[in-house]
Amino acid sequence: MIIKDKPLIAVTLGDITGIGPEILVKVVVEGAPDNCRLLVVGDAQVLRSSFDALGARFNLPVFRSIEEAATSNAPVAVLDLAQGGKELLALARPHPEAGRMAAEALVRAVELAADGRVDGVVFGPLVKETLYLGEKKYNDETQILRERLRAPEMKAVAKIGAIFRVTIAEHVPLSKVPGLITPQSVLNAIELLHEALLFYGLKSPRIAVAALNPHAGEGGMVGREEIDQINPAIQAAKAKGIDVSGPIPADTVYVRAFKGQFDGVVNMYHDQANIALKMAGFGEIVILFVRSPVIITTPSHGPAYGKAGKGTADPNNLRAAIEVAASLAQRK
Amino acid sequence: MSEEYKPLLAITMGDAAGSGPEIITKTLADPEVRAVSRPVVVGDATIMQAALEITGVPGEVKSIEKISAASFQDDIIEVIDLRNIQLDKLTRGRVDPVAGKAAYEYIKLATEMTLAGESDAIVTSAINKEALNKAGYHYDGHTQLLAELCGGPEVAMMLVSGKLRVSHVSTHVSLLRAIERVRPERILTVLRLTDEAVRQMGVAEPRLAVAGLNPHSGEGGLFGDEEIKYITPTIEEARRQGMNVTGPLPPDSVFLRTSEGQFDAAIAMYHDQGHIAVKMLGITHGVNVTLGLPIIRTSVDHGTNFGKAGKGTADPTSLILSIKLASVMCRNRRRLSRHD
Repeated sequence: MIIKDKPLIAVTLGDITGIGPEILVKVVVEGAPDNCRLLVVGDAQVLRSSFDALGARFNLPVFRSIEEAATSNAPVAVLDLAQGGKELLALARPHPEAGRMAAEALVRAVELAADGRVDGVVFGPLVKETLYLGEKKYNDETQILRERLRAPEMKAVAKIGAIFRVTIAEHVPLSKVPGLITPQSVLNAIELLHEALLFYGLKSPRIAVAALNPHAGEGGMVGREEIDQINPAIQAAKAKGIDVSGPIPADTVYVRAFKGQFDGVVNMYHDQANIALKMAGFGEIVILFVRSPVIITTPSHGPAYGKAGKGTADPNNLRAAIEVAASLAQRK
Repeated sequence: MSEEYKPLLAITMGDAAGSGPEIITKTLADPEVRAVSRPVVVGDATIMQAALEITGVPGEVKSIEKISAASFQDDIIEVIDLRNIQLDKLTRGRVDPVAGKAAYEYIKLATEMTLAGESDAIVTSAINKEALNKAGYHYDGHTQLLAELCGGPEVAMMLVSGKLRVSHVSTHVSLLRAIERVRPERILTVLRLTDEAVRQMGVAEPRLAVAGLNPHSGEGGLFGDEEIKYITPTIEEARRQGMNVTGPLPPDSVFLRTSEGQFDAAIAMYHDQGHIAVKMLGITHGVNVTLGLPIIRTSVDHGTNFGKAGKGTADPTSLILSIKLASVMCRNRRRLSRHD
């Protein structure tokens, strides 16, 4: 067996005060996806303690440099950043030092990818409020990634089961949403989604655009955004050769997508997508970054402080994120 | 104890060009429907006769003048016959103003009968809004028309699908308008109407959940302040009035929790919030209930289904569920009023 032919994916623990280390241990113990090898990038003592906490035996090879690690053909190895921080494990609340550790590990992992030392990066769950690098506070992980990879256009796209999703106005008050729906913002979202689907390997992706108003505005009777803002964007996207349908009433667009009629959905606002997805019971949501020089994915959930240290956290989102990164890497 | 009361239900025929008449023939042949209700159709007897021939359901259609003349035999479809459609001029599967006008007349008569106490509730089949409008009746659907026929009370729409009951603060308005409707007085009305309806549906102590308006219910004001300004104070007021209310809960989890049985009903802040949840539940058939009318009204949750009209293949499940729910509500209304 030529194990070295499998892509090497760097995985970070995320915010170690949350469930990040626990879910990574579970993925390793229960069997990591077999289409890749994993290089855990983080503090080896923290990782060892996480194994102990779950009653699992820690027997992974630990390396202090990437040159040493490159000699290994183990299915899972550790690149020890020797950060310390064991006392923060499963603290179950945000802590600036844990945020720094998470950001440092993320940066180290993407630098390894940029240098061609690993084939992709999966980072563990983080919180925005403690994202420090040194004393600098970052708004979110995308800001760190854009800066470090000099990729200002980098954007996150969600993959839910087989469906990709882009939301135009996500974490804003609902009353601000209609003002953010313009022909340009809708077209940008369609193009981003189209790019993500092509990046993922789909040959001719089919995109649906959700409406803003009930019944898609019913010909202007209950709102004009479909006519004035959304439809011009759809026409412009079609003129560019993109296979796009809509505006489709928000209460049927995911019913149709899950029946296999579409590969991706452009949403106008947060709950349009999230109500549908929660009702459908979709736990495994992977965030992948497009317009990026390296392959990066992450599970969609946060550090889930409420579950930290209880041993009950679900590792499936992380496993799905690893699988997506690995399959992207194999395609490269 | 004697057999439970079987409510008298006025079932409107809906749009004659659609699949409503065929659905009624299948529904009234269902022994469970006959076991819980005494149904009469408000419609056109020749159309019902034709529907019976299309579906091949055994039985016969009988034209009656008044509900008091009905015999309620299981194999007879009794029709209060308005004689307002000419069968040979009807094209099924197409918008027809004549069918639109006729559908209006069925609703009007059935509502009047129910208001007068001749029937216990109205159960409506699908109408075609375009046909209604082309006939000169400018309503955005059943709900608005029924409210007007009942003297204009404040109404709310509830969808019932499996264990999930969802009432809506607003329905057919733009998202911007819907956000403006999220105000204490309206939310409290919808809570009160929902509490009353859920009791009529047989829940003694309804547990109500209220959705937030904004993502994550506003996350403490970060993503919008309607929860703080309007929704939370209303929930507190409803509790002072004795209702069991939880919320505001994040919109993306409240409906799932309700469908799992943690609450007896949820209040949605706008149309798509509730409708997305109901449609994603994956239960094909549901019931639409109008709250706030002086009469009990349930309805199918689907359209006229012109594509299936005349083929005899339309599914009657939603009408069967609508009749069963109306029947439960009528019986509990009687029981609850006797306890008062």
